Amino acid sequence: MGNMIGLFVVCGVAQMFFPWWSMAVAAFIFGFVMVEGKNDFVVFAKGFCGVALLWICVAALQFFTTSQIIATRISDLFSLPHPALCIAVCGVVGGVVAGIATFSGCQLRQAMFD
Amino acid sequence: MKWLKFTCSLVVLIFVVITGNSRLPIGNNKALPPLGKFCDPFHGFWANGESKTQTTLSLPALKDEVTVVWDEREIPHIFAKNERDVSIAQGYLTAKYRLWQMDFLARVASGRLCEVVGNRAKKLDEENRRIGLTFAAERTVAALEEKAPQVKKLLDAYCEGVNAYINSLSYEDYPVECKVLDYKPELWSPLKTFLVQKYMAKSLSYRSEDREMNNIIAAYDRKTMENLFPLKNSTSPIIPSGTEWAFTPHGIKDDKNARNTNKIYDIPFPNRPDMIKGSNNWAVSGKKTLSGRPMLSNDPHLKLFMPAIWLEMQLSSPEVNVYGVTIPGLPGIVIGFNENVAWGMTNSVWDVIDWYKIKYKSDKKDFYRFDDKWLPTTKRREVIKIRGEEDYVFDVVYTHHGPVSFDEPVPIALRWTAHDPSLEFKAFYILNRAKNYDDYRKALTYYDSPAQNIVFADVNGDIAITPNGKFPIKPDGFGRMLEDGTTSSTEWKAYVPYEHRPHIKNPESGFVSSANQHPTDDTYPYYYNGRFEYYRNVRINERLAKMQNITIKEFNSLLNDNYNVHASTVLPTLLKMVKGDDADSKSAIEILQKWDYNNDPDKIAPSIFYEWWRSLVPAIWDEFRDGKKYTKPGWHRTVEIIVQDPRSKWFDNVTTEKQETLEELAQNTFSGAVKKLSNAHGTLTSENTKWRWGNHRGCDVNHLMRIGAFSRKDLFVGGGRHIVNATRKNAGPSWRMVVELSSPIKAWGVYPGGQSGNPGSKHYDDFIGKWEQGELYELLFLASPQDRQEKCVRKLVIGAE
Repeated sequence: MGNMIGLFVVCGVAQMFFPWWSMAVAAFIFGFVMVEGKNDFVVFAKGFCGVALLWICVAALQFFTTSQIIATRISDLFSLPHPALCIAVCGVVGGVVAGIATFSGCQLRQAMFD
Repeated sequence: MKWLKFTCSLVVLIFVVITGNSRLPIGNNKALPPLGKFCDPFHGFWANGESKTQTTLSLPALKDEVTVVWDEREIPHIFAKNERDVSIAQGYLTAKYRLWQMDFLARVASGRLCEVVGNRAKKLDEENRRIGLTFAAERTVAALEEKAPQVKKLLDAYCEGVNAYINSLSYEDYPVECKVLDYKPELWSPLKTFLVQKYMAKSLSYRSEDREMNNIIAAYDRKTMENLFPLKNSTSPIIPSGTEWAFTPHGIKDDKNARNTNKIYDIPFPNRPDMIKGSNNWAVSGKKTLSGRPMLSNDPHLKLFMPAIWLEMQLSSPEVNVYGVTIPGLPGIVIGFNENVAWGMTNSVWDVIDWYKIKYKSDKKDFYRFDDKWLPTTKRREVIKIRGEEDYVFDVVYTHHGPVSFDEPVPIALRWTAHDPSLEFKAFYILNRAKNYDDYRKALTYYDSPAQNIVFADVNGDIAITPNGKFPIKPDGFGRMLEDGTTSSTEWKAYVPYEHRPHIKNPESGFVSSANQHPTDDTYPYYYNGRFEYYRNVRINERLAKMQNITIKEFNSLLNDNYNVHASTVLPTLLKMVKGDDADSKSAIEILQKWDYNNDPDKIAPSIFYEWWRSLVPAIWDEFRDGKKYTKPGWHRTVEIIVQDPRSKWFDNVTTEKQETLEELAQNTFSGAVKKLSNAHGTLTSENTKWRWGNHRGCDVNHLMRIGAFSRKDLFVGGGRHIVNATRKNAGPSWRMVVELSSPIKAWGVYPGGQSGNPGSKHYDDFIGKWEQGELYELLFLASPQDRQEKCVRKLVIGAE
């Protein structure tokens, strides 16, 4: 759990300054440094949840402050039944990339040191 | 093994990141936006919400501070200490509101849309390159630079402002359309401004039926063509009948031999002049108004789009204080008013296009015949970069007539006034600063294309109107079909001198008006042709003649006038010819009989008449069914034949052996129309709201890229084609403005859309409701940044450092 919050913070900070893929770099490093690699699925899930949560929180914050209109139009554009689903879709997109990055980072460490 | 696992996962990761950063083709020439980039809540579409209020801004290009005040409707009122700073600030704010739209319009005009949308724009890109819009824009930039350097400097300042905004952007600030299509907005330039202007010139004046007339002559004879498409039967022209022409016209020698034609040209010719575009404007003198001051009104009818065509602003400096609307990309104000004058435009459909058949010396197309010589051509290499495909490369051949826009089956060169170097920007520069009638007249001397009927009123009490533009002098009947390009005898040799262009000031009637009708009656000494309006003008002039003690209420009622003059002239005749054969058609007849001819949104009769007329016209003109070769006579001529010549041969359907009559056509098309409506909407009852005009036809304001989610559809509005309230399914009054030339000036206006071009802003479409209701906002014309503070919501001082 603590791991995931770490990832959440690191990726959040990275994305404030760099493009979206900076979170993949951060998740990779996070996987390399922080995650124990006993169970492949758990490794992926940690990366996935950390960034999915980050993207969902930030998207929700945007939604409830300034971006409700644009989210409604984009959900309409992609035929999503409810604008809030936009938030979930974004969470999944971010989560998948981060999950793979974390997994990959973790694999590198195992290959190098274990 | 572990390294293998790592390598595999790394490959997957790289693949996923690259995929998330690129567009995903989903077939059918479509693609999804780059998912990772687009969904990113920090920089993706989520960042395109309501913009944060800017509290500080500095533009190093400025000489002095500029103060901008926004009113409740998000209209910026720019106050600067010199006119150059006004232009910089206008450029910056225009880009802030409408960057994507500007970029898009310039791309369309230059034939570069394929670069961002792929090959689905190939046809449009090719057309715009073949008719030489970029060539036209380049010549106009050069003309402005040479002949009006002061105005050019202001244009440069405007571009600097636009680019200051563009340079301040990072991905998260890009317009959402750029994110959807995944491209970067390009820097702005004077050429792009003129590309936007040429885009408008194309939209308003690139209309020609020369090929169709040619083909009708070839299939029938010249007399038939002239009978079906008469030139000289104006109804209520802009310059009232009986006005004397106080000049000696320039003569032109006519060589009729050069104008024989007998070949049918079955070629993919340019767009039909779509009659969607029209406009109304009028002005009344103080003796007809309650305030005793002149009043002016204008509503340009254009294809309606989101983001809206127009952007509203006030521009103020010691040299100028003007309010109105402009098209994003064009500096200054196009339609509006200042402290002394007001002006408005309607399109003149005076034909300013001709097509010349070219004879090349050889297939190399290096030389073409002209009189007894072979003249060299020039070639312009056009490279259309198509996203995801190979470049499409071709040459466009230029002759002294203009670009050879079509090569097959015969090469045809385009002669069009929009290609000639011109100084419209100087005209607008002077109009924006005009103090009186003389300034207005002076401004118009610089205005060539697209030709407009420019109405005027000022605080001194003068009103005037001028159908104005660069009009070639042509012999009678010239230029209605393809002309011979191998001889100088068919060339345009001279243009109607400015003083000879139709014009009227302070007529006795107390009003002037235009609605795309004939500029003059038959006594005007110069020949011209075009597809002119026959109905809106009649209604406007009738109502204006009767109006007294006019206030904004009367003008707004005229702007929203739904009276269908066309229906009133033909429906009584048609109704006598039909019987109801079932319950719905019996009720339909009854409804039409009781109709007051108003196309109001809650009425059913307009829906029935519309569908009926729409199927009757092609049934009558079955001879001209092939839209690639022919065009159909106008509504006015069709009504004349129905009412005056009910036994005309045109009512027969040429594909059947039987001799059809008008009665049969009327009955069949009526039954068909009612059936179509019943099938679509169910049984006709007064409660069945689907039959109502505002629901059956309604109005959609589509996004420029036709993105449904960024459009506003199904607006409940009335009006129609050839009706003063010219609202149609996708077109209509794009800006309604009324100005009272009192002191201080009072003005009202509305356009269907909103100031912001960002679909994520509440100001994207916040004027639509008001427009749909046919109401106007009171416009806030400020004397200073401190004026009427209770109406203003925020202020920004833009620093020069």
